[in-house]
Amino acid sequence: MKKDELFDLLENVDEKYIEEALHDYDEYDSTKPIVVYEGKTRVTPMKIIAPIAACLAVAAAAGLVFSNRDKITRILRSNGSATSVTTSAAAPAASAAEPAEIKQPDDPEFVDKCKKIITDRFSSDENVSLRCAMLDMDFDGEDELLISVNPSRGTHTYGVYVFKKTAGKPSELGSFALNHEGDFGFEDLYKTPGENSYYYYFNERYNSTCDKEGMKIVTVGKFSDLSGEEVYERTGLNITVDPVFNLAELNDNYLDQYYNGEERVTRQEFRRLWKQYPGLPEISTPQTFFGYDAKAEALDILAEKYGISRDELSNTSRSWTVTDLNGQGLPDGVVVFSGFDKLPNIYAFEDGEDGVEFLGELNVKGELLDNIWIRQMTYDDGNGTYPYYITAKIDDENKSSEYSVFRINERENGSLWSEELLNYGRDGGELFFRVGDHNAYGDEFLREFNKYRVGYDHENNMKLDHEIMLALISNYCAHEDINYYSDFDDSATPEFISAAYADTHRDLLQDAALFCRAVIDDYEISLFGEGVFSTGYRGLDPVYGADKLFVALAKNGELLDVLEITPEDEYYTDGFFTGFGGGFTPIIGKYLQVTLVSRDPHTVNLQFFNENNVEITTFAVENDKLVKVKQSNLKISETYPKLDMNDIPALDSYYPNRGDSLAAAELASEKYGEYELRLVSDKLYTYTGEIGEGKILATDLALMLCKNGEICHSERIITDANTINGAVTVNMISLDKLDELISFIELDDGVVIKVSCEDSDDWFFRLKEDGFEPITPRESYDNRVPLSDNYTVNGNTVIDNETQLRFTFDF
Amino acid sequence: MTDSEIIELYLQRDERAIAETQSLYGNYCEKIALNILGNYQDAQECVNDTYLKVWDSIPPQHPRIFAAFLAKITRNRAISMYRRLHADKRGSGTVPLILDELEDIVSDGTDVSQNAEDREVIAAINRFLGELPEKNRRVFVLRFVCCESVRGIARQMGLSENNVSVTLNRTKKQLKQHLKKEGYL
Repeated sequence: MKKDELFDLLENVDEKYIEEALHDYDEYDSTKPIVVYEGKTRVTPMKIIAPIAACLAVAAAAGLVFSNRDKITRILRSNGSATSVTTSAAAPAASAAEPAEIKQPDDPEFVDKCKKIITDRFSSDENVSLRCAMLDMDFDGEDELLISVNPSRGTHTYGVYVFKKTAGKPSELGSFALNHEGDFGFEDLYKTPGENSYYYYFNERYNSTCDKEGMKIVTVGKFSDLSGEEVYERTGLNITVDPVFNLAELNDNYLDQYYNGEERVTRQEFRRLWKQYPGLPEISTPQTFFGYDAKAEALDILAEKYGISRDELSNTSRSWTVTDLNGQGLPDGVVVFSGFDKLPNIYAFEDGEDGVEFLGELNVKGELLDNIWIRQMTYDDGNGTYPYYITAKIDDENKSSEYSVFRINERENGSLWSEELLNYGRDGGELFFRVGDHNAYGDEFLREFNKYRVGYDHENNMKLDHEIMLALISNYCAHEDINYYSDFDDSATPEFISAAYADTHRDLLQDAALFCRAVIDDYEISLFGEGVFSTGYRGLDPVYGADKLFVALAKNGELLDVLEITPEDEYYTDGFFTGFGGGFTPIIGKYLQVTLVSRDPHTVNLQFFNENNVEITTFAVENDKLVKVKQSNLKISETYPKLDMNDIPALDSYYPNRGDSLAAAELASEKYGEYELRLVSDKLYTYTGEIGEGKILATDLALMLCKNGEICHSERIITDANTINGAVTVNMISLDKLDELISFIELDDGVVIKVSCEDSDDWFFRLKEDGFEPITPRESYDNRVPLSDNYTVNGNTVIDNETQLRFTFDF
Repeated sequence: MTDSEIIELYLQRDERAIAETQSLYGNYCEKIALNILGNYQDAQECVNDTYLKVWDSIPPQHPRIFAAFLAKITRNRAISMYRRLHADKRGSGTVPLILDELEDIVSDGTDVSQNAEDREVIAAINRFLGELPEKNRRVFVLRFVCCESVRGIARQMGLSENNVSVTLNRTKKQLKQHLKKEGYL
């Protein structure tokens, strides 16, 4: 066991290196709870055993001296915490088949104390429904009080709280945040299809079911005691049970049930499913809070800053909302409080890497305080005029900024509370726009906002005319804060437009938007959309469309040229999207990429994707103008540099089509007679994680047949391998098999080109004069010819090298 | 209470030593154990074993860096428990993955020299680590000594997961070359 030896040896590395590695590693900080990550899920295990220190104190009081394991075991067992020294397998977990008995609380005074702890966390205007039950959650022989909380509005504190009675006083053990958006407690939540109940997972040992109306523990058992079939029977969910942490492995069938079936997924459900897949950006709503602890910390800061007692702030009528600083849809820490009885303004905090930080405050009269810019506006929604505010927070380096529109509402008692209506900003030079999804007037505000921005009132038509489009583009390109990238950047995923969720109607997001931008040397080539809308989601992928698309060329901040490039073809005219009322054109977003082809002359590819086609338009820059170039005129040798493994960049995600990528490259080439066959990819990723390290993920493959250095035939290879919801096509290629990617196979009746795919069937093409054609049906061909290293091809006969069996095929 | 004060309690055979260790390093040890065992209850039990081991080890030992001393004992206990619990099956936790990764270093048919003293090999590894950039060294130690997940390392060090993976891959290759160069492979 050589690797075992090495593994053991590593225990003895110099302690200073261990100290260095663990220094400032906050998850090793005993002042913070242990956090276990699984996928994007964050779980804070509940401490269910008495701390050993307490046990030792008991032991010392009892006059016990421990010097060996048996004594410690006895001490702990005597203290009712035997689970801490027995193996988990021996822990007295209740059987899944034997639901634990649930009792009603018998100590009203204790219940009231616990309830007060909960209700103090709510604003006074929130109507909270509480239900109680008693259950021995930590198996110490004593029942704990469980309080389910079902607020009338807002979702952040919907959950179950567990209190232990310690010397007659409530001690909160933890909580199950049934609101999966919450960042605290036990958050895994599964809705059982067809039932109004929720299935959640607790402390990696127990599972229970809770209905929306209250709490009903149905089963208590160790997850690993349940087989996948049993879990399915109980919940309707396909969950991989072993290992225990892989709860999130809802299989594709389950997703298909929602996305392809009759049942439209709710936004909440979608978000929950979304979170099950690692690597996806988190999405949330402005209502989501960053966690009770951070909230409490923010209030502490506020209380200290203004010399007000913490209790006064806790008990006051207040509200808060969370902003989205980077436009990723995640409420990444900026929270705004308002409506305090004792404090008149709006106060912004950020939950950053170093904890909660006070950002500044806004005077509701419109005065700027601290570093937050504010502009007061009014809006009449037909029922009255509301004041609202555009606020901005700009970071120190002026690279990112955020603008939010808050509406200030007044309660009957005269106190004020704020509501975020929309959010707009720029992060690292990228524009983003987000309309508060809880806001019925988003489009109206958007129009007002654009009016404010460009000084143009486009009255009855939400769309901008071309002149205004140019003005917007020009305004953007001339912006002095444009953050020029040092090199090509093709981060085309328009996550800055993250407003619309799975709405079934066309949802106009923005009059105009920048979708992607490539900065190449002095040039900046941008793709803009006019009349940007969302059609919801296709599988897990947000889908966006625009009425018109423009390519803009800028240099040194000056707009040089704009071309309209709206594709003529309508995509998605059948299948999934017919349910939305017909095809929209074009589909953009992650189905569109800008890639650098060459620098001399500067040439870029714009690629439009759908599941059946890749449309590529190539533009060259000539005399500072954009010129449309046909792809077939390009020479491969000029367009695709050889793949250099040293250039493989970092990838930020498990998920393909996200994170850093390598620009176009030639993966492999193979000569056959006068022909040279080249396999190229317009987008490469390294791939790590669950699928495996040391892989290249190559998308947008093309096979090009060259003769005398010129392309005589080329064809896109759209594989069905590793398809992400049928929308993105990718191939997995192992790093150490690059030289085996393509090959020519001579058969009796001709030559076949083979393209190897690691995780799917290989591809075969028949070589023709100055061209090739796919062998179809491919599946049939693949099934008949099991070509691999284990086989030898002789004419149309395939020989199994191991068994020497021969297969002869009639191609 | 400082590390040296806690160690002094151990030396004085004062049982508060364990309570103070638990207070200051309880989560620290649990996290390391959890990295390896993948099960919170097992990790808790492992940490209890760690406390007992520390209690039995000090004296005569007098740790130079208490935190690292705890980390090593926790790792050792956790790996022992892991092997006991997973004698005949592949279980959870990061150990199988880490072993797979380590195989890259010793996968060419050669063995860690049986004639070489382990301490010479570890000395060579320490020399190698000493020459690494701090970031690469931290990534390597977190992964292979503390058995932290790639994701966890990435999150804590502010790196992308792929950056961590690439760093690990490159460091493994460099270590392999280093051990070869020094004659241990």
